[in-house]
Amino acid sequence: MRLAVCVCALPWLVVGCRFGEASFETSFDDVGFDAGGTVFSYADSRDVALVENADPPVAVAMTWVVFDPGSDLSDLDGASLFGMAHEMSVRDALAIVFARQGAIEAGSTTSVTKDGTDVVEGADLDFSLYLAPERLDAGSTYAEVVPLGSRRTLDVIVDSVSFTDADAGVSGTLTLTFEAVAGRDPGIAREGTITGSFRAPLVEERTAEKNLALLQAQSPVLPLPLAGRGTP
Amino acid sequence: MRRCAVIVGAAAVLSSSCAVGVDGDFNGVAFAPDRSVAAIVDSHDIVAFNGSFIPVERARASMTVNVWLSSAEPPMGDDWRRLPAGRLLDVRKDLAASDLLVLEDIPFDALQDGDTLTASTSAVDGAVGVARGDGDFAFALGQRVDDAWEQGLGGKVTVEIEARSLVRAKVRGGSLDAIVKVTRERAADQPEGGLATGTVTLQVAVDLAPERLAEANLAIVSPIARCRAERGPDAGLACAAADADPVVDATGVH
Repeated sequence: MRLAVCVCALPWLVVGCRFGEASFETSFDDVGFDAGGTVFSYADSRDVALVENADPPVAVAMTWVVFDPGSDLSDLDGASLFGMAHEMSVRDALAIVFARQGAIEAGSTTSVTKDGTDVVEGADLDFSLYLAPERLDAGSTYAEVVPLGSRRTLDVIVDSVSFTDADAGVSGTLTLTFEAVAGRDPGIAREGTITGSFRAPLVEERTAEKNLALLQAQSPVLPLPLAGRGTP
Repeated sequence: MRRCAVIVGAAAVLSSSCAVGVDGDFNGVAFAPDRSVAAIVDSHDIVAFNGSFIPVERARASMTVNVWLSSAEPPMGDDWRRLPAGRLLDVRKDLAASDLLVLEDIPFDALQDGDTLTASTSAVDGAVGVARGDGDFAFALGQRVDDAWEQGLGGKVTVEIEARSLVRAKVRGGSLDAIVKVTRERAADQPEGGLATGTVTLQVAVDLAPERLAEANLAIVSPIARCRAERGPDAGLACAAADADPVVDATGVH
């Protein structure tokens, strides 16, 4: 199912109907999170040599930018594509990667803990969070720049999953916990959570990967598409 | 002498008063970065801490001043990073096509004491561009050149700054009143005669800009100026796409 909500598209959003859905809340007073513009999943079934992986990773991409991930974005005019790519760099985004498609089951809970970019616990899941830059004004001060805790644990509960139905995709709820680590984080580092739910319809791999690359041509935001197997 | 034609946009936010007076030219070649100006007291270092970045207030002796002037009129009260793509592109394009002068890392104390501070550099390969200079501060200069001007610009550039007053309020605010002299001379490897040389004097009177917002925007201005300085007038608008310097936010480095 594609169509969830039709929105009045701003010029750089181009596509008027949202794909998938997600909503989030944060425990931070001054850090919101909105990556519910476009939500989709794809199975990374083939590597750069087109060798098929029978049990591939499954990526879930969530962006503020609204677009149709199942349509080739290279058909857009340059200004529209440039505008979308720019918005990618100044808006929230989240990528979740399940290590094995076969291990994703309805009702299952999967977790991963990372210190910065290093996974310290959990081999079945990975994630990458991109928080939008602050919107500064004349009253903004450096005193407001307080880092978030660097130990981040993502817990995902899968509500439903299918890779064969007409409505194929993954849906679930998630909690991302920010924890300050003594000796690693500065004493002022903040702790808190981002919680939310998502429904990520499945998109054909090739189109999804091409679109993700196009949207991040100016500025990488998410580590998607995934690096090819064997790529350092 | 010409006077700043426009009070900087969003004046109430960033600069309640702005004035740049221009006196002189380079043998008839104008250099008039007089439409917008920002003066920023850089009072924070960004300290890396195991992957986190924390702003730490500098001791007074380590504070510096950054000043940039342009004949373009970007929206000074906005965070340019968050402008719509088309508007940001216009800002970049306008800066890349403008008379532009960026002065960075000027020692605060020396400037406040009224010292005359100087930096100079010679163009690379006898071209007309100007690299960042050695001296009391760093600078980068981009100059519009009329297509009709067929000779080169003097490749040796000296910038001199002297503050008549520099007032920094404890929490926010303050002002800078300064004279900036930009002198072009023939570089050693340039042919004699026909070059645009001379001195342009800029009289700058401006309220100090809010540090964090102005530094975020300077992160866009400065690379464009460096690119233009390195490539000279032949850069055209290519420098509009110069990568911005990183900016630290609570949400990360962008």
